[in-house]
Amino acid sequence: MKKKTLAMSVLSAVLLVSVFSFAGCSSGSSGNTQESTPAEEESALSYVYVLEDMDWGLEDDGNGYYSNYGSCGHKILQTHTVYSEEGTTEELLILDLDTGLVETIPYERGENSYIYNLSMRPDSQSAESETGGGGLAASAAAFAVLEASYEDDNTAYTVQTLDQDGTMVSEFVLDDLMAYLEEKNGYGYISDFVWGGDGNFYLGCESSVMVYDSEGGQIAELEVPNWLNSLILSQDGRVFATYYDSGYQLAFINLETETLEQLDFGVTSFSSGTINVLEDDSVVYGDSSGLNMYRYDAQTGETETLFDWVSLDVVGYNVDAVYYLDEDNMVVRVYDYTANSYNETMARVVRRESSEVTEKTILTLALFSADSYTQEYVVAFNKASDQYRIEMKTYLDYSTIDYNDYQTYYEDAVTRMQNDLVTGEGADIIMTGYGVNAGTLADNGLLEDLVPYLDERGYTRDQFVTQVYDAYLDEGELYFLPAEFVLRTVYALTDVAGTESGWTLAEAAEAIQNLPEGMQWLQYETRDSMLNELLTYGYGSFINEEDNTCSFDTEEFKALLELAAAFPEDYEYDMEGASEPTMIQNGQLAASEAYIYDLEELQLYRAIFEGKDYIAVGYPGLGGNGTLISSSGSTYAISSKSQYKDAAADFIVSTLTAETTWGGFGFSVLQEELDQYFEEETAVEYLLDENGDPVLDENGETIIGGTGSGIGYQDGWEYWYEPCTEEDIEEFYELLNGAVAVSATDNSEILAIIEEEADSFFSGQKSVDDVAAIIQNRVSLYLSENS
Amino acid sequence: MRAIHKKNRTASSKQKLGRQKRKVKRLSAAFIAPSFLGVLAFFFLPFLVVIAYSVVDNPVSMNFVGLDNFAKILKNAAFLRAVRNTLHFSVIAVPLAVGLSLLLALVLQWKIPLRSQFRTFFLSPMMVPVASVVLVWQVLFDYNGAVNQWLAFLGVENKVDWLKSSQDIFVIVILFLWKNLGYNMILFMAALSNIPKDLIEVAVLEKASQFQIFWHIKLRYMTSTLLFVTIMSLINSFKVFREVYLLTGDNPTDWIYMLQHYMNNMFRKLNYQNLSAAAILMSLFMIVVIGILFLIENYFGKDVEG
Repeated sequence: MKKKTLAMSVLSAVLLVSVFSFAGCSSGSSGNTQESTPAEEESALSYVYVLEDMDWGLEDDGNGYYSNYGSCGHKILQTHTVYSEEGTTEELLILDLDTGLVETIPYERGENSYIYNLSMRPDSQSAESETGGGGLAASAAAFAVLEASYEDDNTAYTVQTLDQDGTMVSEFVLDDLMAYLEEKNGYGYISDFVWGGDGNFYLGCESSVMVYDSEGGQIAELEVPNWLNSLILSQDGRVFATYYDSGYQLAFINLETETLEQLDFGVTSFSSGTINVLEDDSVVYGDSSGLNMYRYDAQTGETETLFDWVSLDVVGYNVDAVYYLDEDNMVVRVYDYTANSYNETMARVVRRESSEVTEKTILTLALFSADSYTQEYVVAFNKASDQYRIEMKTYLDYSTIDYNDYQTYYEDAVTRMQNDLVTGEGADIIMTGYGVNAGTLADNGLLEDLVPYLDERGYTRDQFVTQVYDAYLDEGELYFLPAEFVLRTVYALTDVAGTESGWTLAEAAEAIQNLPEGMQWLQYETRDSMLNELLTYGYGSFINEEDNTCSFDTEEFKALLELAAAFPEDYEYDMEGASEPTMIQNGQLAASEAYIYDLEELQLYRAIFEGKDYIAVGYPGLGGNGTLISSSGSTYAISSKSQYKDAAADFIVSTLTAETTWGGFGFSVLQEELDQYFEEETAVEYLLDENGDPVLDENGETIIGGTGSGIGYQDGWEYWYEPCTEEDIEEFYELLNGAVAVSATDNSEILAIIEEEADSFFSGQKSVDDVAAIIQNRVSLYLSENS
Repeated sequence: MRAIHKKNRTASSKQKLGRQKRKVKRLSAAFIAPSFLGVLAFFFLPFLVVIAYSVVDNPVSMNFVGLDNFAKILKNAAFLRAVRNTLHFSVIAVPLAVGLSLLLALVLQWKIPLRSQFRTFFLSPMMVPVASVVLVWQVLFDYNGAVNQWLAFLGVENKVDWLKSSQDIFVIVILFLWKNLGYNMILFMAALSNIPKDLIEVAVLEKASQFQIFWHIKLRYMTSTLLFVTIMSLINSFKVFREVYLLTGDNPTDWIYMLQHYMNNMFRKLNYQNLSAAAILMSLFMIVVIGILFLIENYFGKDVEG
């Protein structure tokens, strides 16, 4: 009896565990199902990778710069260009990655010349003996320089070899190559230069690799499918090419057979700067999303994740190169390009016991793929927080994606992400937008209202640009808010679009239908783009949201389809044709779609429509004044299932004020920052002479200086930006007041149905009546699901 | 004394028998346990989760709302359309699938030339992956597909939009039959071969007609197979969504919008509560229909089995 009771108890416990696991009731918010964050994989091991600063003593003193990196084995060769009163000089630096020491090699550059590229003699002689090349061992040459010299708009290239002291050993010119490339491609361009272990010089020239022996004799020309991306020197001195051909490819340049031998390591995308080919054909590489570093083992065919960049507090997108020394030791070169400065730093990635690293509470950020903004936000947060560390859980892996079946791959990712979010296994923070319909998540209670969290941190409504804040409110709740926003609108001639901002779909259709002879609506308009423009926000005219019915079988909708069908199927881009501003000035074009991300853009459109009456009429059917508030960069929401909502809110607040590498491409959502930006933009700067004194005009008045920047078009039309004025600010607010924020994913399914069916009308397969009837049928059904 | 001894011996052998029975039971339980746990873990428990989701307001807050979700979907036009279409399809496709496969089985029982080749031919669709079948169907029934071209060749001027008009139900029925006839046919052929030959010989001697033999003997002996084939066809007809989805996507026209379209779209919209309520209603319907089929089988087939 006791045994029976015990057995029943065990069975009951098993069932209970099963019930909870199936019901998704586990309490951890950052566990995983199919995906695992790299740190979770690492934690299974007993080690982690950490970043250690490397001090080469090469800080930029403002009088020069470092460039042209050529690596070989455990050394890097680079150029140091120095500006001084005597002129510009260059020297070579050898960075020893093992010892951290720098050796300087003097370099005598010719007049009007500079080091275009450089390479180092490979240490390995194995490749040489196999291919019978160059006599490298006997040569004193240690470095090779591709020098460019310019004269009268012509650039000539010379390959020089130098010994350890910088004395030239040999030299040959590439005039014949340049003449050949001119004839072949219409211009001469060398993209890459590598000194191979066989003693030959490999030059990347657009879609071909040219190979020269040490005497300057051309020994091979290999064609690369599409564009050559880079040339890579393997650890044993072999030269590989990376290029795009149905995904990124890595191929050994075999001179004996004069073929490219593809090295398949199971990925379709990688960052070529991070590629290291080892002696046994194993490959260490980073993915193109800048997320992880991997090691493909050629012996086993297995690929392991080495580390993710975010865990090292590095923005993977900013990694320029990785030098793999061994599995415990790598050196990375990272650039940091902020608004006004550019720095490049080197650091060592080393492997440490897990126990040596301070543990933090992990927050999971769920997203489809990590853009550079997000990586920077996360790295900044992780560096600043002692308690929390954010890890990114991506659902689309671009390194293994099958581009032929992208739709399935994408839908699978959406499903997996939604499942994780519903079961609470997914995330503390969710990146909204691409692939993530915030509306659906919010409707199902998966997102937390940000208002109390922002209020608590001192970010009340009045701290924000209220128009934007209010536009993103959803029935009084705020689920996400961009750090920066842009305004999108359509500027059009008032003769065509009328004098009021904002218009209905019917008004737009009538205006476009009745364009004057010889005038088109937008440049490069096609039937698909016209349909998209009219219906992206205007489709609502055919939908009754109260009873979830639609009227796509009406004459009005058929007229729209017929209007769109009158546009060409495709356009031919004419490099030498008239630009958009010229066409507007000539009365050939009625409108222009504007993307306002700074005040200068407003000036630009004033210049484009100069002398014409025009108006920001906006997108048909959008509502408000027709102008759209759109997020610049990524937006984030807090999962209602997170255990660490306050930490997640801290992260979101940090994104509002974070400075990013590519920041400034939009207006700050914080009113104070926006005001400060306006103040800076409208500050008057006077034109100064060489002594720093104001330049006076003929009336003795000071002259207001320009911004020094402008924009030019292919036909010569150009505009130089002026310092911004109050008029620009007023115009900005005029657009902003009444602008509307719309989630791009809200209407995607209806638009997809319309576009799919409209195609058969555009191609002449079906009549407009048939197509309208099918659209009506399908959209009705779609809407009735929501009733 | 002898009697007592005998009694003891009987008791001892009974005990031994009891021990053996218990041993057999334990052994049986050990063999059944993996399957039992599998069914429990992968069918029964998830179904409990589905029941739980069907009575809450949403999968996050999990507030109990009773039968509100059922009431809601029973008023939903899309759900009702899906039910109508699914039943419409089943009513057309299942009798056809059962009747035609039975007919084929009877025909292939005769000694006709190329009999085994025909058998292989009808079984071949089972070997072809659905995705490939659908590709072929798209080539055939696309607006510019082969069928419309043949029709044009025969002088039919107006093209038929096979996949986006009321005709699309026939395309799906043909696809369903093509896919399922072979399997059903094999089951019927097996059942036919198990009918006692002496009964048929007696019937022939008694000058019974072929129809009488079929109706009174063969069909009676095949009742359980008939039931099994009908149930499988019915279940398969409810699963035809896979083919329809591959042919027409998430949002087809309302003529071929099936129950699983509704459920699939509810899943994508994270509306697990409506999805679960729909799944439960569908299960209840299937249970009732299958129960009725069992009653019919009991009524017609019990004398044969007995």
